[in-house]
Amino acid sequence: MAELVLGVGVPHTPYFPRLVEEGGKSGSRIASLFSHVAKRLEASAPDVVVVLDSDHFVNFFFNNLPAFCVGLADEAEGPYETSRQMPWCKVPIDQTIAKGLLQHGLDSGFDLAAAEELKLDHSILVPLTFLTPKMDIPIVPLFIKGLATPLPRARRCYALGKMLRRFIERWPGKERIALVASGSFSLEVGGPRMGWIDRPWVSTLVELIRAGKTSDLVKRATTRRMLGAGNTGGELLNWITLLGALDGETPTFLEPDMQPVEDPRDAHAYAVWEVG
Amino acid sequence: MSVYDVNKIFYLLETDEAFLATFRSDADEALKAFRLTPAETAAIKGGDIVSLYQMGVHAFLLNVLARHNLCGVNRDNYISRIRTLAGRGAASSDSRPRRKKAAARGNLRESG
Repeated sequence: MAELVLGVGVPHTPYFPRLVEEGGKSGSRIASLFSHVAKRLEASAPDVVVVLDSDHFVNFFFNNLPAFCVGLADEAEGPYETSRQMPWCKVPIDQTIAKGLLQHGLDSGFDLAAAEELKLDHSILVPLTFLTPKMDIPIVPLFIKGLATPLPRARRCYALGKMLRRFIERWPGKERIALVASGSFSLEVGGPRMGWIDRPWVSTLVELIRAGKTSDLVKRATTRRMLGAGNTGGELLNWITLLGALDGETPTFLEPDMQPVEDPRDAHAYAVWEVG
Repeated sequence: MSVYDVNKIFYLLETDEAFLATFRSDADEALKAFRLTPAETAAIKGGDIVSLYQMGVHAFLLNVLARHNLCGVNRDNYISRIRTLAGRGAASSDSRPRRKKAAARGNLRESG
């Protein structure tokens, strides 16, 4: 039986690696928060990291936009964005587990899409840069549509997470598996509310996560409410999928991060669940 | 009717180095493969992000103009132009709920 050893939630802001490299107040805060999470991830000694993420129009466009898709390539690289702000990286993918997850999904009512060739964008590579900087731990990317409407329902993403947990527990291998959810709680990219963050929503989410009130969170996370926090607010679905896999456990570390009122850009949180 | 094509142009600018290079050197050449109305072509070439947003272009994709300083758009003028729409119910494929207008106005006050 494989084992779920850790759950992690982090942001993926594309310029974070640059900010950290430049030092400065913001860079130091970001480095310290990521380092806190990275230490716990390292201590959990994962063999595989399943990344719960929303593709940022790099693999998928409006011609073909799956609600859920598992990456089945043997490796992937990126960031495939012409405006990338971090070095090019290559990451191995655990194809065996990825295929197992695809099959388990199909067998249990989740008709996942599958991609045997995929590109990575900053939303996977920024977290990995800080969490597994050697890029040597194989990942399994599980894409959850979060940036284009119609979004999958929060309750469906929660159930997807529960399916993922059952898959891990029934998997015949001995792998130690960590989950990383990537995304912000409040951020508008390119729209009229750029530079505004929805502080009440972020505070509510942090309180509910801290208290382990996940079913309450899922009920509140309607499409309207998530997108009310910014046009990337659907990235919360990645965290909700993680919460489904964690089955009501409370985090051992949870730190919201909102920029100062005079210069807000995005709002998110760093969290760790030490399982078992 | 061809907002799909407009979105696709911005998607390619962010994911296809060759397309980006062509667009920079000869926008007409880059655009000729797409089904665009004259208004769409003019809005793209003129960097008219307000019109593009109102046509329904996805804001996340639209922002590529600012990221690459294309068509006279940069980060500062992008933000000041797009914010003129705060509080208006423009349609776009990233779909904002209308009742968030008040919050958006509050934001402008908050961020000065």
